[in-house]
Amino acid sequence: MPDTITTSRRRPQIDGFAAFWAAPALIWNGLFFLAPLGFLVGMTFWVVRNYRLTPDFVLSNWERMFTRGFFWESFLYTVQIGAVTAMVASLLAFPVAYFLAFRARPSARRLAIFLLITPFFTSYLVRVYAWMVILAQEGVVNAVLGGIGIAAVSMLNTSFATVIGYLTLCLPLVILIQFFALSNVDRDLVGASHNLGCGPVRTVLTVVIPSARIGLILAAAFAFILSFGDYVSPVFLGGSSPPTMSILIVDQTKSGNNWPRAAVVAVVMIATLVTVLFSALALAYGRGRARA
Amino acid sequence: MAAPNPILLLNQVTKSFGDTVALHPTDLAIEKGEFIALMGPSGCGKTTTLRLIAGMDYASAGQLLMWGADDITATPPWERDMPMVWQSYALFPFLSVRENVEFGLRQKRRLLSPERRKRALEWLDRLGIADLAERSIHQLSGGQRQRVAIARALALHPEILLLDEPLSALDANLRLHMQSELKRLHSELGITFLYVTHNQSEAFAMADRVVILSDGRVQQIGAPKEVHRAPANRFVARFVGANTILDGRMTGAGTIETPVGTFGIARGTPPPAHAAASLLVPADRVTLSTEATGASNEVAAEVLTEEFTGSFVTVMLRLADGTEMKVQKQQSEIDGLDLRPGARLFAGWPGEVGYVLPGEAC
Amino acid sequence: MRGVWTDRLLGGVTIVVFLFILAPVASIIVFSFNADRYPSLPWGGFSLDWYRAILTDETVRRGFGRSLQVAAIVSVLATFIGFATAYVDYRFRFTGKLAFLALAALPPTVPVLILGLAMLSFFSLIDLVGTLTGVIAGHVVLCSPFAMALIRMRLAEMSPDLEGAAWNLGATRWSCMRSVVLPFCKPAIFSALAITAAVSFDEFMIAWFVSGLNETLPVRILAMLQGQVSPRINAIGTIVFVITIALVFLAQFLTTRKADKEAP
Repeated sequence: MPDTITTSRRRPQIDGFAAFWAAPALIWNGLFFLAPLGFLVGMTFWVVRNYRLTPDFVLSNWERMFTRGFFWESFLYTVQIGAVTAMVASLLAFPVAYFLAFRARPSARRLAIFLLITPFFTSYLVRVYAWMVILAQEGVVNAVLGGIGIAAVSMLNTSFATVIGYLTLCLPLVILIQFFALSNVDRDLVGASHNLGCGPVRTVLTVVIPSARIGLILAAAFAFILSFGDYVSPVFLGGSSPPTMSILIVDQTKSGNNWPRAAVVAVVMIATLVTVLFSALALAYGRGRARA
Repeated sequence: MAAPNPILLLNQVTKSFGDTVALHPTDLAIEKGEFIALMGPSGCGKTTTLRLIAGMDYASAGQLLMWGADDITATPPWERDMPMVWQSYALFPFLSVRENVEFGLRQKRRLLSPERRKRALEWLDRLGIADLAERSIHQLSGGQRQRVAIARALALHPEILLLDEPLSALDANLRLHMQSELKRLHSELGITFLYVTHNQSEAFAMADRVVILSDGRVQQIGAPKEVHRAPANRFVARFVGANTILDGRMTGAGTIETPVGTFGIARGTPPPAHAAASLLVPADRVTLSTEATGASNEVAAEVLTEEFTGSFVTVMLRLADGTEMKVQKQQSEIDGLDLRPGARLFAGWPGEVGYVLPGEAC
Repeated sequence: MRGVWTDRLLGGVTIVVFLFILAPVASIIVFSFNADRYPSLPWGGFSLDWYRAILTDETVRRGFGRSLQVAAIVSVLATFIGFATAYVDYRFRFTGKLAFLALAALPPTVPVLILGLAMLSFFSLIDLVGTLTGVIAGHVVLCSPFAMALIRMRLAEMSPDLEGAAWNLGATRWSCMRSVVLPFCKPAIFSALAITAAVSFDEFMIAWFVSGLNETLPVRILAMLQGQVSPRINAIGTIVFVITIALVFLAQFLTTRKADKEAP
């Protein structure tokens, strides 16, 4: 229920009570979120002189990054591997979400959801380390393969390992979003489709997926966003080669000590993420194939 | 009948939300000790009026005066002394029954804890739920919650009690019981009750005066009997329900000519000759017979439906021009009549009950 | 029945995916008790050496202490800000509300790496780099939206009449906040404290950029990963896992217990 007290003609427009509760987020996030992000953008026009960050207004950082081949290679690679992850995660998650939404018993469903929420609160770093151990040359997988007489496969320091890491990060979230989307699909619609002689597979393709479109697209978008910004997997599982955008940022910051250039990469990343997010929203909510 | 200083006076009180007017300028004088009911269909402005009085919303224009002098139009709700019984009960789920009743005493009366507890228990006892004092709210039935809500409001010893559809969530039996209990409390306490409801029988059974609202405007203010016998307009006539409306035109001789006959008028202010007018026939004054009696206030009719509600029978008739007529009789009065759908009979009414309303566009 | 094989297939895929999600967690716990220097199969025997190693490691112990300290302060601040923001969203309507909510809710959608860089550069201007205060400032930004979401969901269950009833009975808005809104939100507030503490305790990117020499525990783990990989990480991971899971369980318990109590 909207509060009309603040808008009444008889009371002051600035209401101390309302202001008190709005102030914490305004002040804190203004100071420690908005200002840093604003500074990040501004900093792309500053220069580093004698190892010191100096205010300026030059385009040299942008020129320098945009004219380097490695920057664009890294950009393409990061987008590519993020897209692959989004696709793989969506395809892996769908049968699971479908099973949980339509087939699983309520008790199994509750357990599954708990198991899916837990990873958000277990150290991602440590889980990536676990994959290092599992995928290593002398690791668990190769030990098992060796046991059945297959030669050791080198899995660490590959894009494959990076994708494994990304999936560790985003798969639980993708399953959860897909599950909620599928749970909201009208059961009668599915029943009606069966009733009209559609087999299970055709029902999924023609009824379930179009009805849950928004959730499915958003889930894929989140998978992309999470992988695109991740630093840990490409370094420790992918061996930093080829470098992703996040690795460029850390290199420029930690070793190169060139914050403005790192900021350029960060701003390009944010722009990319915003573009992807808005395209996904347009695709999800837009007219698209609004047959339903 | 307005005393010089009513306990609460609404002076041209208006409320609009953006472009929508929820309450057109409204005047209303509420007297001390009165039981007054605001009623009308949903969206008529009755709840808006109550919220303005309680201070949940503030009027867009106009004034609210207490005792004719104290302007409370802009007073925040916590400084008004008008506790309310909410339709949803709005009990605090994290407090026990007793703590709920103590809530207002703690906020407002600055009473010491033992005194608060004593007064809360007194009121719980008065409402017959003293044994529930230490229960938590979710253990109570709807009727019990209702009593807690009333105790919580009355424990403040207010001069005005506001009630917002307090009985609408109760089942029919309980509702009747609570009606008489509220009526009893009102006469014992001698304070003002301001009661909002969409239920006509509730309002008529309890209130000294009813205020009928529609589309944010007051249609009529008066004692239940007055509103019932002499509705101010067609809306009120329909809303209070038990009337048949026969549309027609005044004749030169002070009678009203309708498609089903020309009838005499006993009450109301007749419009000028040849103007449009409507005749109201109260449902409980209609007599039914199988033979025409030759009386002047009589029409031929065909039975549409017959419906039993307790000892009453409601018969719907169709007149020659298709108008539906409602008749309410005691079961004993119509024994032996054939009331199957399609049966033909005659409906008549005593000349002195015919009430005239000016005609209006439907 | 044509449904049977599709059900089996779906069930099978589900199990495989859950194994994939749980494998790293299982691996961490199992190998934290493995005697071998290099964690692999076959099993090298039970041992508590790695736990002994980290408990005597001064850097780990200090990091652990700092992480606890940061998490405790962050959870209180983030929960307060989250509560305030959730209440503003619940109660008030005003121009610019969407922008206000975006400012309050968006931080988790920005990659932590970018937050870290932005905070590092900006905090260096105001002398917060290298301090735990800086880490706390950053973590509160990241955590308060989680608190806000939890408390907002609880507020959605609060009848809009409840505050009205309190005002009507003579409570000012401040005293209504204390005697009605806060008690009503209590379970969500405790959940929010636990969840924000867990998120802060695990966060390493902002901390890595901002903390300087005041390494928190996850930053120490990151440093260990960059240096000599050692099964000690498994032991730390297990301890961290137990702590965060305990916090999540606590949060879960506090919310469901309240829900059970309110069931009719």
